[in-house]
Amino acid sequence: MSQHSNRITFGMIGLLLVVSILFLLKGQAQPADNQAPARYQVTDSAGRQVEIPRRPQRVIVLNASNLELFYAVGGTVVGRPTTEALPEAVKAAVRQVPAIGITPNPNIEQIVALRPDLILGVNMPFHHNLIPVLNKAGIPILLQALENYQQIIDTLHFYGELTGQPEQAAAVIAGIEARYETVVKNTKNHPAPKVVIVWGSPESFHMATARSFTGDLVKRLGAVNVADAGDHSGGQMGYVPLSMEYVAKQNPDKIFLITHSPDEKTNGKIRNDLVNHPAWRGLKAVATNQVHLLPYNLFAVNPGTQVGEALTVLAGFLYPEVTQP
Amino acid sequence: MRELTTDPRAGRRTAISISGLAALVAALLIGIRVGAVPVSMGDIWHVFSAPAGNEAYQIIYNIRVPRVLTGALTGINLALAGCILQGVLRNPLADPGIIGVSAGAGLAAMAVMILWPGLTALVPAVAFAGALMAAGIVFMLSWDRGVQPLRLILAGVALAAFFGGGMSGLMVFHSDKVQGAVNWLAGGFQGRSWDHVSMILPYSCIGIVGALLSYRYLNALQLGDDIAKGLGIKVETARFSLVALAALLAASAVSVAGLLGFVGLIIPHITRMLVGSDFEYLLPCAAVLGATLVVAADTVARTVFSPVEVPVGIFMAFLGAPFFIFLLQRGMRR
Repeated sequence: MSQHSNRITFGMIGLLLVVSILFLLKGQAQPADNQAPARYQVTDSAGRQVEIPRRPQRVIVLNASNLELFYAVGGTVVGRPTTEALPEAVKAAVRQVPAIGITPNPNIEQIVALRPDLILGVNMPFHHNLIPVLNKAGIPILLQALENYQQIIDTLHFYGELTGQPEQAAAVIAGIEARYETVVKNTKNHPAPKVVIVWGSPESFHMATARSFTGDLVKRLGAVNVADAGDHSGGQMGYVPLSMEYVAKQNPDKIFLITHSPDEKTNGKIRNDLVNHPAWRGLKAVATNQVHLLPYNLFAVNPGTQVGEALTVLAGFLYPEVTQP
Repeated sequence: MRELTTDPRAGRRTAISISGLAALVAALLIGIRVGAVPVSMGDIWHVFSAPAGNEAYQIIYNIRVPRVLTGALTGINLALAGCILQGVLRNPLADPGIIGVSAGAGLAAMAVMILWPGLTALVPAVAFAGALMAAGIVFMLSWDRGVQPLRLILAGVALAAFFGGGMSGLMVFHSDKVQGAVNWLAGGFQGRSWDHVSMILPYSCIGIVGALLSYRYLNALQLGDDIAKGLGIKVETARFSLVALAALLAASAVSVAGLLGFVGLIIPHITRMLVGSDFEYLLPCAAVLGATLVVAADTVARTVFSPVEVPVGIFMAFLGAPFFIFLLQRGMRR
């Protein structure tokens, strides 16, 4: 009897395997649909060639920065990420739009059920993982990186084409660039301060290099980032582990601090920990009270269209003699 | 002298086999039926009777069916690998991770996800290669006229520490990109497709066949090397083949499910409490229970916090560990 039941058990497992095989073989036949007329090829930040509709009607955006940029040029979405990191205007605009989960972990069933004709995600493994299933469902996904100033401008331009409102995109871009020009022009002929951008939580500090968003802005403003001088990774990493000794030796004029938390109390504590560290107490930046906490909403995530504000804030800290006459 | 012809545990084993199978079938069906998007039984029927390209079809056929199948096959492979290793190494703490597969797969997969995010499609293959490579190194380190259990365990622990250091190093140097690897490290089935089914299926077949062929050797090895030799078994060859089989099974599971711990350690113990330690019954029952547990846990993990999906590895550790401790205490009192 027991011998018998053992056979049955193995038999059933075998059956499960056979079912899997059958499905696999059957899986090749795909019902054809989605034959939209106007489609064209674009290359996304991950270097993938993707065929997308010229005027997508049902767009899902998987992260806050892309959503903000897409709305800035008059786009609307049918699905959005579950996130609080949005400007108030965008937050209000998408309140009624179904949420499809947090950015690192979107719910693929809900995405498919919303019948999108284009998905905008980020160039990260968790969105790469969605590609096989979306391919089968015939839904294109673009993986957009937003790691520096130029990518914001390019992305706005591209989204303007997608929404069919290139004029609005051009206006937004012109606004940002005008502000950029002004800030850069005003700060041009001033001595370049030496800075370090510290990115961290109380237990773990990193320095931002020119590959990071903030590092890129600082470089554009003509400041010398000590992390770039000591970066031997060939410029691949946005953030490198912080060496207190290295920073102490470099003795920067200014220290910028970006935290992972919008909580003021935590940030105050992080700042005090840094400033009161014996190795740093003698630094020029600490002695002259040039340790600045960068606003969370502009620097913790990509500021999108608010990049002008971010630049202004940085310029204010870098060149106080210019901005506060 | 009266001969004992029927095993007193036969009835119990039959009951457990049948209820285990029923639970597995139920878990598979429920797994296909429920999810973030409601579908009806009619929709499910239409997927198989009259395939259409609508959303219900996409969700059931391209998302849920491959996902529950991947989960079931992962459960089978991890449970079989765990049973085999605990038997061969005669160590109740042995699990698939101990032969280095988790560490090797983890380092290889993280390196791809963090350093070359554009190649994420290759993660299953790379994880598989990393797992096999690590298992190979552990084999070489533990080789002394055959695989020695204690050396294998020590080499596994040492190599896991070494590769673990590599993973931590990647996380420290690329802290801004770690987020992308977190789900994989926890173990889960989000976004699994037919590609993953075809990846793991051959190894499940190898595992089933291997288990069918090898239960006698496992039973004999459990009695100790000398007795096994007395029974006419080539201990070194048997041990090597069995650990290699376990390595293949575990590596295939890691490649599709990420670092899903727990199943390979716990399922063999639970099954042993239920059906005893005769591998003839232990292996098939563990396979069924492993598949049921993974499918059921994944179904719950992806529905309770909808639309956010919890990686099943986290969920299983939270619910499974207390359950396991409860079983252990009951088992000890007896």
